[in-house]
Amino acid sequence: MNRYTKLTAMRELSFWVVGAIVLAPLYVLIVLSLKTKQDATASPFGLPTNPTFENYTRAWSSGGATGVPFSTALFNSVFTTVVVVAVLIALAAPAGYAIARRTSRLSNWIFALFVVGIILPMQLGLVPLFVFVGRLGLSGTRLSLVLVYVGVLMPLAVFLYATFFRALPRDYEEAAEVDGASHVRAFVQIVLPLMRPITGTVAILCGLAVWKDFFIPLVFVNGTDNVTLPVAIYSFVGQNVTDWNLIFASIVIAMAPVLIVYVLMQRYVLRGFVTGVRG
Amino acid sequence: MAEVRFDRVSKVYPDGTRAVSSMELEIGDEEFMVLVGPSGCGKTTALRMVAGLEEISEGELRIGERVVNDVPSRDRDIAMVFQSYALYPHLSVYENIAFGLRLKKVPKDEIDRRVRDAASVLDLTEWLKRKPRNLSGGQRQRVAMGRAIVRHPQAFLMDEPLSNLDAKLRVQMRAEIARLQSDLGVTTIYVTHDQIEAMTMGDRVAVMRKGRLQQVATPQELYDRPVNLFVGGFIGSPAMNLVQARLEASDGDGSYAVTVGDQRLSLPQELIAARPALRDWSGRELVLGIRPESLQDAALAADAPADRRLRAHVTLREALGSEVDVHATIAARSAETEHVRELIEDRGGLETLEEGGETTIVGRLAPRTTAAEGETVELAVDTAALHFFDPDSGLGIYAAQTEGAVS
Ligand SMILES: Nc1ncnc2c1ncn2[C@@H]1O[C@H](COP(=O)(O)OP(=O)(O)O)[C@@H](O)[C@H]1O
Ligand SMILES: [Mg+2]
Repeated sequence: MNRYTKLTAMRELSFWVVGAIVLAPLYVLIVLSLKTKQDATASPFGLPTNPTFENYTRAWSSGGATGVPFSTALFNSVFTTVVVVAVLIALAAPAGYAIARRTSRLSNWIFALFVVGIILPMQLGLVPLFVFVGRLGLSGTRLSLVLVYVGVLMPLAVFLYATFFRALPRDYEEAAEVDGASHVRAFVQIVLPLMRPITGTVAILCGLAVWKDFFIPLVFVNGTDNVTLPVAIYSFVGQNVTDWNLIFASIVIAMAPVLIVYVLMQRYVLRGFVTGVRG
Repeated sequence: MAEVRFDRVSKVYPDGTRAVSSMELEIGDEEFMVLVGPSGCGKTTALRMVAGLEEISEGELRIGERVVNDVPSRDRDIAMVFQSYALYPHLSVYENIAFGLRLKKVPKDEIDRRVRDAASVLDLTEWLKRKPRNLSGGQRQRVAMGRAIVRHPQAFLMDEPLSNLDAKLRVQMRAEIARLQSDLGVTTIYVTHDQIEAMTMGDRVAVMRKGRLQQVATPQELYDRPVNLFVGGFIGSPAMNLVQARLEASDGDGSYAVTVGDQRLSLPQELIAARPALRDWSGRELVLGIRPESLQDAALAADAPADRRLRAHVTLREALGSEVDVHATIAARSAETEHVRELIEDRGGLETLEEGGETTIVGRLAPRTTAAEGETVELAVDTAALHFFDPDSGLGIYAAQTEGAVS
């Protein structure tokens, strides 16, 4: 059955080739981040002759053009992502639940509105949003970032929850009610725990969207101490000189938390993407 | 413990479906009532109205002395076993069973005692720490039962609780549930589409069709005196044979006979006495119902008189060991009334009405019968057990209204 034939050999070879293509940038990224400037210019793609973590320490403590240290940007990113995801879950789960369980026409309309919200590009509303944030006196604050993200991602989160609850049999809640539970109690004791997989999915999809986003922080908090990682990385791109080894070190730093979360929550991440694709 | 009473209860779903129509039914204290009928006839809807999971569109529903139309489910003090069991996936067996008691703030040690009692009755003691997904179908079913019995509720409601089990387990659980119910003496409404479950488990059986109650009676009464063609055809397996026949009075001596095609069956006096209304039917066409078990191989019943026999042509012989089911055609017209056609649809439309002058009937014969496919067999008919129905209304022909009949 599992004999190693020519065909298997070909297949394995093609895996290696594809793997190499995918991994090549990562290789360049890590190798360059470990080189000094001179070393990098001399042989950009060779193994570092004299590996150093100097790029990491420099990127970490001093910023680029904006002067925001990387540690601050990392904190901003983590803070924004965590708060946005928490608020999304707290609001979207009950909203999706209500939409799924009420069979009125109104709830169908609201659901449709959220779907439209997913499809519409947020850039369409960018200018009014920017003006609005300014009028609220929130320009450049972390709060503005959080508010904008919550608004932009809410449709997706509500959609995911509503679809999940529509597929979840009512039997559990009904059994709980017959057992003597109120609606609220049935939700808290029975539905909430059942919701865990979809909550993982929402957290991953939305968290990742916030984490890697460059555009919204560039518009709303650029030039302040509240920038997130992607903007901070970009600040290393100078007008005349670009320190690629610094940029690459900072990219590795930015990737690390994502990789850690991925390793810890692999199961949910995969399911999240599958759901995202199907949805 | 309490009675449950449906007082002209109807259910109309928002899309206009009339799932239950003017249901009039009283379930006595400690009674085991089975609601039976083909799929889609409104059984689940009726049960869910008792549970408070479905709003009651018209009429009144009482549990005990209380009208519960507007009482939410949680305050009705009833327990329900769902077809899907609906065990809480994230809770252990113990916590599943204890859930209702915790909500009622029963003291901890009391909960523990009751859960363990229920578990030992249901043979679940060693699984208490497991999650439902790690149990077999039969065990899950018992956990669902456990969740109901610990509560000591006013009534049990069960919606096809055995339909997800394999045949053998189903027979076993059937007996177990019936035993539990009579031990506990809790009023029970049990929904099933399986007439064997209905007949074996119920104190009384309520037969439903298209949202309407057809007949409410003890299993024996249902079998002996079906109120109409539908009940006659639905209860009993294999199903009652229905053929077009003609009732004839013999010249003035007060005896009657039915002609089936070119064959005649004399009717015994006691049959006419039990169904006096038959006298009005002499000379008219009616639907004759013959239960398969009322047929016997005449060769094995030598004393069966010649005027109580049917000649038939065997087309299929099914040996079941304890008996032999013989499918045979007789020269007679099938009962082609609207009611029979609907009945066949309700059964799943497997049988078709034969064209022309031939009808297939099924006889349940003793295993010693030598009737073989392709041969002609003489069938002795237990004429005292024949059934008669009005071809137009589908109603059984008895004296006046049959007891338990719902018009
Ligand atoms: N939520 C609902 N909305 C509309 N029609 C329904 C609903 N639930 C059931 N029905 C309809 O009501 C009828 C009775 O259904 P049900 O009570 O589930 O039957 P049974 O349990 O006897 O199979 C069916 O015709 C079914 O299609
Ligand atoms: Mg049903």
